[in-house]
Amino acid sequence: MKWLLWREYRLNRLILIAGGAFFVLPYAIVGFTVLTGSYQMTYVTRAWLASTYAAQLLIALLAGNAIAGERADRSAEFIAYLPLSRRRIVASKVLFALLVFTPVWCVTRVVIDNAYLPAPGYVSGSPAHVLSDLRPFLANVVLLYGAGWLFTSRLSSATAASVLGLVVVILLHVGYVFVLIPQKNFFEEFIRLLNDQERFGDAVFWYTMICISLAVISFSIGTWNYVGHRRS
Amino acid sequence: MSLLPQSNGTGPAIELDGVFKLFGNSPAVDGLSLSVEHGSTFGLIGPNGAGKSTTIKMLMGLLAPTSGSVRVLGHDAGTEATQIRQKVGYVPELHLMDRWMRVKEVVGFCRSAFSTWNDDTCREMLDRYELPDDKKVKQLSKGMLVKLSLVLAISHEPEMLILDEPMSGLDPLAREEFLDGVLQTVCDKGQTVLLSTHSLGDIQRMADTVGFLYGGRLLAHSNIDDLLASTKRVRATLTNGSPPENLPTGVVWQQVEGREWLLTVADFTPETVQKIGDLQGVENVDVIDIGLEDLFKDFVKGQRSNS
Repeated sequence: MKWLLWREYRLNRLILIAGGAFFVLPYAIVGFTVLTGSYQMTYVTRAWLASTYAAQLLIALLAGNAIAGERADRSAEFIAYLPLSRRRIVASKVLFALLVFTPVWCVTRVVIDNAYLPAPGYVSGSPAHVLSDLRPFLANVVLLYGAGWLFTSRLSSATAASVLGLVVVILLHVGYVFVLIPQKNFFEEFIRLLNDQERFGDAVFWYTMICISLAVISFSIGTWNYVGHRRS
Repeated sequence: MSLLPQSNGTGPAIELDGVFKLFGNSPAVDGLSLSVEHGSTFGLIGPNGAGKSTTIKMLMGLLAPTSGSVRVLGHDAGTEATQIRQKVGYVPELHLMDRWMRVKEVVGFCRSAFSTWNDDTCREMLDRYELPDDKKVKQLSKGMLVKLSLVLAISHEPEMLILDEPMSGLDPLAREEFLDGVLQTVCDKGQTVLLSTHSLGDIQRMADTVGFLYGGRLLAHSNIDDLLASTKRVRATLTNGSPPENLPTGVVWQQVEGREWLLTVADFTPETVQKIGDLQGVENVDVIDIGLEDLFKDFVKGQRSNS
């Protein structure tokens, strides 16, 4: 497993470096504003948004590259002739994604708990609480990986698999918002939803459930494609 | 014929029984039945598209046959492919290991996949082929890549070696070194070897049994010495320029040029000459020994003209 994880790291090194840089950079900029005395609370909000988008992109790229990448450069054939079960290979790829996501989650949690919530501009119960709820972020990440996994199990282009995974999440996200909120007076209703903590909590709960369900289904089909089917 | 010792293994190392493999509607392998004994060196010869690589992929459990059964070293290739790969050393035509890895990293990676990896064998082979540990795979020449593939295939001390046209594109020196490496390993360990190649010279040097594959079908499968002894070319003169209709059994291929009639006959016996001589309009019957290459060509040409 150690060598499989090492190989995953080497195969995804560029993605990790770029994704890591884009994830850390916004917080680094906020840190710089603190040092220079020009800090404002909204900077943390913006940095959080930018970083979580970078993290989601990173996961989408990892998922898209998981199988399609090695299929494209044909190194999958090298692995195929070794006595490695596909279940073990799948386990290594999923474990690698978890290892990558763990620090992302920890940093995000630390920022929310130690920089965002205690910030002077934050008022409990205001729409700002929306950002402190990390469930949509987690749900998106899980679905990005699941959907990306489904596409990477069938395609030979890592880019296409990643993009399709992103499209699934964006479509679901936009579709969910439009189903949830009446289109008449959309923006007023949207603000009202953000202010209604109970209603917002319900909406987040169901969104999370839908994302996780879709992710599990996508991942299962993708794994079945990869593990269960020898090429016919 | 073979330079190799026979191992003490019993029973077939490879068993294919009525194997069909269809890609769409076209058969890549067409009812192939084949048995290769433990410790033998089997040469699989066929033109491009004959089904050699498809057959090997089915042996390694990478392709599922459309019908029929494939067993390797007693394991079913459909359900026990991982066990097969644990016991088989495979050298492919295209050496597709990760190009960014260093030699020592490829070795380390493969080592982690095999429970029977022998570091001493590996080190000895790497030193023998002068493969530098720190060199990246993408920096290796074709000859060095082939040698590295052989090191990886042999270091886990497999029971069987499958060589799928590994020497295509190699210069004669690299080819010689590769074959020497295979021969030495097989002589030391008595492994079963399946060698798929276009080169009949390599087959004659390495193999004790041979199979001719064409259109996914096995045209011949025999010990090379027996095959050469039992298959002869016959030259005769036709008095009226056209061959007789009732040919003797075992005719693989025939050709008429003017009044000269050439035919290649399998399962040849002294009576075969008598039978051909007795045919109406046939005289001056000569028997000619032919080599493996001509024999292979005659089998394929005969099959082509029949289809």
